[in-house]
Amino acid sequence: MNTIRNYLESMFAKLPNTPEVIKAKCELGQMMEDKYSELIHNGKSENEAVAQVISEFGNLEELADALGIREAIQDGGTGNSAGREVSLEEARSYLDSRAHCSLLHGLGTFFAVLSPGWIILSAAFGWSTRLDLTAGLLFLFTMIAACVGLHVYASLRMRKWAFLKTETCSIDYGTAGMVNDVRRASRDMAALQRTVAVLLFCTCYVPLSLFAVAGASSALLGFGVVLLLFMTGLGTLILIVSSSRENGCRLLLGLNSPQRVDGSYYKGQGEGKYTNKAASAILSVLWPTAVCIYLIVSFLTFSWAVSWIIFPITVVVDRLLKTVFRVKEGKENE
Amino acid sequence: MGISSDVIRGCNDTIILCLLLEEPSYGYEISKKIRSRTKDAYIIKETTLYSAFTRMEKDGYIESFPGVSENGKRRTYYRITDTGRMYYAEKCEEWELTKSVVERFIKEIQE
Repeated sequence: MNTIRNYLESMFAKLPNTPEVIKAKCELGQMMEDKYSELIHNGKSENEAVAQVISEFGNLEELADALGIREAIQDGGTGNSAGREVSLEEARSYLDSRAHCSLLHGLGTFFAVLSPGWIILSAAFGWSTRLDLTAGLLFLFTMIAACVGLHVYASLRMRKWAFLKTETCSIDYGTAGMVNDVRRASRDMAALQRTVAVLLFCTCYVPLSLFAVAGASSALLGFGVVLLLFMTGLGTLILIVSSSRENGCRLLLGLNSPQRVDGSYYKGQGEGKYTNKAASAILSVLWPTAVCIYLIVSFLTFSWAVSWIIFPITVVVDRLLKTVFRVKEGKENE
Repeated sequence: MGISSDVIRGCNDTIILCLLLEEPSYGYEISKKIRSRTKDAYIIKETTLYSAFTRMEKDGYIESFPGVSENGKRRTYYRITDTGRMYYAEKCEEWELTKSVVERFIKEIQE
């Protein structure tokens, strides 16, 4: 039955995404399904049944006038209107190199954030000989050089894919299906990674403040600062990596115009996404409420040094709600 | 010797309307009836059938409504309208005429 469904999908993939076309696809699919199940019921093998159903399907030419798609069928024949066709291998290789390059970009940023680490440590530990200073500066410049090198290399590697953004391209039905699968598979992982990154951002100052509160030595304080840098850098790295695959998929799926049946993936069809009413109600008032609480508490108690913590907490709550209830972000899916 | 789809094309409407005159029906059931009544001589293609449905519904000869088939599946059923009955009668007359004309030219070739 899957073979039949795929056959039908690929026949309809390039047609305009109108109610008539969708209805025709659905009705034809039901007729084929009925025929298939009866053939199987009468003792035909799967292969025989599929072959017979497909050979008796007819051709779309006959539907052209009924559905008002004569132009689309003729366009589909020449393939000119679709622009450059991106093949399955190309799509796969694009997604891989995009993931790879975003890892390089992330590492570059990580190095940049970490670059002053040595100098801070030597200041904290009181290493002030000329040699120590040189070592610190050397570390700083090496890290920055590594960062620039990684960014440049990654950008150069992505240059060969620039045509995806500058030329008119399209992907065929099978490729769109594959990309959509990748997207769905990477979605949860990406959400998890983003949550981890946000948690890292929110907690990066904790060791330093604990050391400060406990009245630790300057060496420990320096260590706390380096830890802060490390966590921020790691958070940024995870954040950059997390979005790469999904953004790549979104770009590929966005190549097809939503006016065509195979472009309708872009709106996130069949993703089992739902909007929880309570969650979206909470989300809509989350940030204003946080700001109100912040202002009221701060003005009443004058504890500005502590009260700002509500913002990182709100970020975490916001992320968690969005991840758990999959509330669609309007802007993201435009 | 299979049937030529060019020749039978003009008669698809008559065949479908005849079956709908008996009782309302849905896509696969109609195609199955055509097949069994002609003893496998004419197997109508799915696309042919569906385009006939949409065309005749637009012309007001048949109308569709949701129904449940005998195996419990929800299907789009079609029934014939009064205009459809008149159209069917016309088509039958037209066929009688066509048949009488063509028959005059049908004979065995004598070697």
